[in-house]
Amino acid sequence: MQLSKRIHQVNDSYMKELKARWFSENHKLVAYNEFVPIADEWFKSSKLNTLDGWNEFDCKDVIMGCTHYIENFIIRHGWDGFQILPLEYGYYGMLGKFGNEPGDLEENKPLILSLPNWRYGSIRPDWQDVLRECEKKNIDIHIDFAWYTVAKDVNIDLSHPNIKSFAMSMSKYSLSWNRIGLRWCKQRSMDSIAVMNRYYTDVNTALTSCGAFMIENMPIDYGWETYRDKNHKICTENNWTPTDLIHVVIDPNDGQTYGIGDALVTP
Amino acid sequence: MSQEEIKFEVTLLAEYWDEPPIAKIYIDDVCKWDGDLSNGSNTITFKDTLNFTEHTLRIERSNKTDGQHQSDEKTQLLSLEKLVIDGVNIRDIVWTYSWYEPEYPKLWALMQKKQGNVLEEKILAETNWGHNGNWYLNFTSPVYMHIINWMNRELDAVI
Repeated sequence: MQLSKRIHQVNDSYMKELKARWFSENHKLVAYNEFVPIADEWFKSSKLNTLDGWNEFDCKDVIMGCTHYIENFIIRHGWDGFQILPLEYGYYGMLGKFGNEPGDLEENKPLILSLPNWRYGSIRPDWQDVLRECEKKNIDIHIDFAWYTVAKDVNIDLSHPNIKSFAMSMSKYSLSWNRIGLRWCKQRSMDSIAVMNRYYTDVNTALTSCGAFMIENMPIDYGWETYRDKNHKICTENNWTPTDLIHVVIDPNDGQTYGIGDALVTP
Repeated sequence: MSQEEIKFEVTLLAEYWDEPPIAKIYIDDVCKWDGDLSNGSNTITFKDTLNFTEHTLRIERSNKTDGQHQSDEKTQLLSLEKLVIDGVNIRDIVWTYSWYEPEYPKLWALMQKKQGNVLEEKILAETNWGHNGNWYLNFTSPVYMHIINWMNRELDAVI
């Protein structure tokens, strides 16, 4: 079985069917203010992951996927006004931003990071050290949970005082054609997401309507619930190490992560 | 949540030849900054926890005694160059909704009155402060909603 260097999303016949239905059927309009509680409940409904302290983040806003959350963050803090860690989302590297090593984080400079992390296929192993360093250096933490919907065993205490915001998206279920998600903040500031949610209150309702349709038809843990056995079988047969992401494995021969999204959906 | 922690960045331009102007910055009559100004730009940064209600930012400008004004070149001025609240430069709000209440020197004010000049008690959007006095800006918390209300033209005129 071939591993894929590019980590493809799980795109099975059910997801293709949902997409086809979205384009062929009539659907109800779901506005921002209706979508927020629906999505909030959906993201919180995972039985495979535990995020404590979620309720401390009572400012909830619609985002067009986690990259939108990141872009908004960059606008807010400026290109040189934030930091990332090594082995982060490739988007930063494509734009010329590279990581500071744990232990060398800059004081008072906000940090944005992805959890789980694609390179580890789980929460970063140095997460607790990073938390302690951020505490010591007064660094605000913002978490990109883009992979949350296809993950298991993500257990984090969000009530940590340095964690200021986080975001989740539905895109990892082959829904990148309709990027939609939520951002949670302890305190809302004026930024492009606040403008989109509080000033332009009637934009992109196609995205929220489609997101609500997908939520109605798909449990958040769909990936692991559907493909747990197949993931196990593929890993066992090929001597690959499973990760906490349903479609990502590690090849022990080189220690690299690879995608099995296509293999999972192949009969 | 019924309150927020907001960072204020106030940039004051002090120009003087002898004594510096003195500024004190208040939120709702609680002094948040009281310090020395040097010739040129001075950026003052502080944080405050604001309840979700109405607030007033006030800058008290003082130390303009009669001797500090000798000529247009040899004088003492204080200007508000920039005001950033919660990371947002609110210049246009300042230019529309702030006001200054000068404390005119008594003798000078009397002369102006004799000459038939009417001195304003409140000067809308004045950010250059030649006379001693107080500059005010009313705003509401959450601050992001105040900005949205401004954009929606929902803020009340102050004068």
